[in-house]
Amino acid sequence: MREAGVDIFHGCVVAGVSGRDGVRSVHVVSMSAGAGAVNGGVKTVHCDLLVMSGGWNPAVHLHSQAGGRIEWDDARACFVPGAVRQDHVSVGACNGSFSLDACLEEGKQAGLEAARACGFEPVPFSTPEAGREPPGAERPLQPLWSIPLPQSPLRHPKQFVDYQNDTTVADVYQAVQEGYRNVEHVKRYTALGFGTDQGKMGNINGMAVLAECLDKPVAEVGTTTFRPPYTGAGFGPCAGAAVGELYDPVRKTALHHWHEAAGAEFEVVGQWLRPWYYPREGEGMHDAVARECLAARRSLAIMDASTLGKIEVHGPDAVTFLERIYTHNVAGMKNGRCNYGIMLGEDGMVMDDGVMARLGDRHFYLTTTTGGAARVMGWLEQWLQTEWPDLNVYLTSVTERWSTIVLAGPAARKLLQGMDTDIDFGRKDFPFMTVRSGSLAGVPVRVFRVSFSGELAFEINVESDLAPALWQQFMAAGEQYGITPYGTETMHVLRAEKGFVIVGQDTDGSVTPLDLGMNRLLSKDRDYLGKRSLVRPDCQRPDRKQLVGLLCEGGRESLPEGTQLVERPGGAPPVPKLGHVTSSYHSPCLGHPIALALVSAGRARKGDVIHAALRDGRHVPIKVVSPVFYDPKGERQHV
Amino acid sequence: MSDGLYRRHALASFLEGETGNGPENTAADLEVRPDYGYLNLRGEPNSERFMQTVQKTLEQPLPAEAGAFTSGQHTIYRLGPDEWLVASELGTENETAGRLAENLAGQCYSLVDVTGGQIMMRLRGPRAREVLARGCTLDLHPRAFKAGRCAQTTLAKTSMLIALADDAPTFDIIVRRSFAEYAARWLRHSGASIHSRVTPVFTGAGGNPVR
Amino acid sequence: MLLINCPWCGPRDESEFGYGGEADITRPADPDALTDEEWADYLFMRKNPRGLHREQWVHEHGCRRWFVLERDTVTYRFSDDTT
Repeated sequence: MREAGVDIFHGCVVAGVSGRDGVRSVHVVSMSAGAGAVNGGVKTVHCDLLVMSGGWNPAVHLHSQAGGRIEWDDARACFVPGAVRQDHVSVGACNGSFSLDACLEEGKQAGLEAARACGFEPVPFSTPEAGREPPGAERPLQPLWSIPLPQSPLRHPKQFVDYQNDTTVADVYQAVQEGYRNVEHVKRYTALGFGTDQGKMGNINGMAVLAECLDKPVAEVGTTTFRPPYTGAGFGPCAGAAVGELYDPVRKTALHHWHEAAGAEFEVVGQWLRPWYYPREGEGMHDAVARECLAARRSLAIMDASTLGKIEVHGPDAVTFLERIYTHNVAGMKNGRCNYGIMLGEDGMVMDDGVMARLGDRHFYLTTTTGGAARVMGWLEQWLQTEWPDLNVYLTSVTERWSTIVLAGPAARKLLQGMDTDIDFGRKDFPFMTVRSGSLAGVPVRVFRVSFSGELAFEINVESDLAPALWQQFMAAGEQYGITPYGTETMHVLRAEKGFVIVGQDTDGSVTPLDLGMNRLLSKDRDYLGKRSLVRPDCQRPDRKQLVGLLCEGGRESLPEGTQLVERPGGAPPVPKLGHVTSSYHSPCLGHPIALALVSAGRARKGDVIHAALRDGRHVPIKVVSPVFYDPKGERQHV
Repeated sequence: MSDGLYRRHALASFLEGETGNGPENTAADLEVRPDYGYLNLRGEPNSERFMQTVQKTLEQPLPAEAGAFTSGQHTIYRLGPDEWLVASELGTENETAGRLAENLAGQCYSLVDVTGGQIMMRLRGPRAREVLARGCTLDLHPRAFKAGRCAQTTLAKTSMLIALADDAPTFDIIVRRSFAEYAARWLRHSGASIHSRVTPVFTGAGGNPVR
Repeated sequence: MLLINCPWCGPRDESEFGYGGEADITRPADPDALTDEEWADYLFMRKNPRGLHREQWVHEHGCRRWFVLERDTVTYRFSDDTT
């Protein structure tokens, strides 16, 4: 290290750190072994990082949770496993043996014994030579729980103990001064060990500081309870494979390579990567989204919606089953018919939404939100298996089998009619909210005439391996209509202009279909999950938050999502909140910002002016309006 | 190519730049299999009629036990008590589905074409178990997982259907399409880290004409 | 980590499973006939015992089947005779 030009200060400690927004320098002072105070002699070292060692601490969690005792070991300055209660054994560092040789040997012995206990005769083997331990590894530790500065610990400069909650030595002393002497009380007073590391870094140090303060041995102070679950700090994040592209699965659609080549910016939705918008040379996000929105409203736009969850439902009891899950009239759906459907939790709150298509007497197809796909499939299976095993229904996920291509815009029909197909795309033969199967450009497809944009639109399901070929055919055939690929941002703007909600954005698990104004979707003459909850007094309160639209009075102000809404500016705190903005966009086709919001008694406030409380302290007057900003009669999707 | 109909394999991008000329006789070889046609079949295993009809139609027994598969013209994996996955040569699944539907008419069952929804990789070689064991919760020891067995389990941070074809050992690994790239990268990484060479070899073309 | 015995697939690692809470809660046949208190009891109230607990699990990354196990909430030990 010295050869590399690194200074090493023996018998020294860091007694202070300088820097405002980051570490700029540290102050090093000398301190002789065993001394209760620093000796002064400040040396300043310029640096931008200070690293501290927490020493070696066995992970006694599993041992402790299995009922084993833990004991304080003075020589090693840590808690080590004591007597066991269940059939387990701690070995290696877990047992307080920190040398590699000891770890290998203890592991070997325990493994041999475990094999014998299972009735096997183990094959002898030797552990690898660990080699000489680095000098000093066996020397007893000299714990340094806190730097003994001349002033009272309460007046120390910050000596952090818990790096996640910024608990300092002074905080521990403060807790004791306030009368908290039990370690469990000190933990709760200081938040020591409450971080996401659950005290793995700082707890032992904190307890030892407490022991110093109480002038008691650490063993007497004891530890806080090691509660399950225990999750080790894995080697994966430190040195293993769980970094970079292997950190978490990145799910890509069958069209991903096309989006990449087209220069799309991507958005992470769940584990999926979805095209967010497709900027052209010189365009920012705002320009690109405006161009994509206008293409969909005026001519033709195309989107990859493959990430939608898709489920096939088969069986003689399919109608009975779906009528218990969804709120709308399923039995009345004719073959080939599509319906917007919502499902509620038993608490009456909106859980997910999507399109339901009836493909046959006993055959349905459902879509779910991208993020809700696995949850909905699990939910359906749970009810089917645990509550209604008498129903003859089978569910199969087809999310990955089908890619979904959306064609939206006034020219969508003309494009499809101009292609080689056996499907009649005519207005009469293929009405809004119906589904057709057939061949398109030589490829088998299912086409749903549904619309999440409010425009004439077709959602085309095609086998995933064939999706790139079909997409390219659309791009070639759509050139004459200026076909424009659009991403999730434009999708959001288009749906918000129509007041279509996104479950999970405009709802948050506390929103009923009544709050969203979806009464028409609620069947009156039969039971379904969550129905009973809708008549609980709390769900009937007239001041519940309801979905509304917001327009800034005269202004061009775009309200950040999450903005709190109040009746009027001023007033003594606490100011009663009326609700908050859930969606907010600039609408290119209307030429001004629009927002959706959940507002207390919102529907009764239509036409009223309320106020948005902005972060900079300003209050902006806003008008409560219908959530449908564009084509309120829904004529465009019916053409 | 751009105007014609073609199939694009889920790992086409991943395989671009892979020469397919990896070293032979490595400790574990990873091979990306060409696509198969896949049918998901659900039905009542206790119905003699259902089991007989399917066996007659497919000319192959359905695996009777949990976690087993049968090979023949099709490979049939038992996924659960009332669920099977039928893998066949790509392009034949439509006809197979048609015959099943015809013969099962009037019975309670579900048959869903899930072709394109998953991909298959084959991991083969003396150290294949080690490559998998680093990220798989299943007990892969030959005592616990024998040739002819299959299981749905985890592979690193995703799920897979794994089948042990022979004692080479040869593992067939089926993962969901959108997780294919992650799974392939993970397997390659895992193989590299034990000095086994996992070289993705693709035995089919990246852009097959449809017909 | 727990080793959980899936009745169909056999013993598997805990991470392959999902937890479904207390077992044996039956959905009321006629929810409309219930008072708000009775409905709330069905919706929200759970036993959370210290000791033996019958609970639902699903083999999420395996056969996707739901099943019931009895577990001691103090020792985490599963009773052998439940499926």
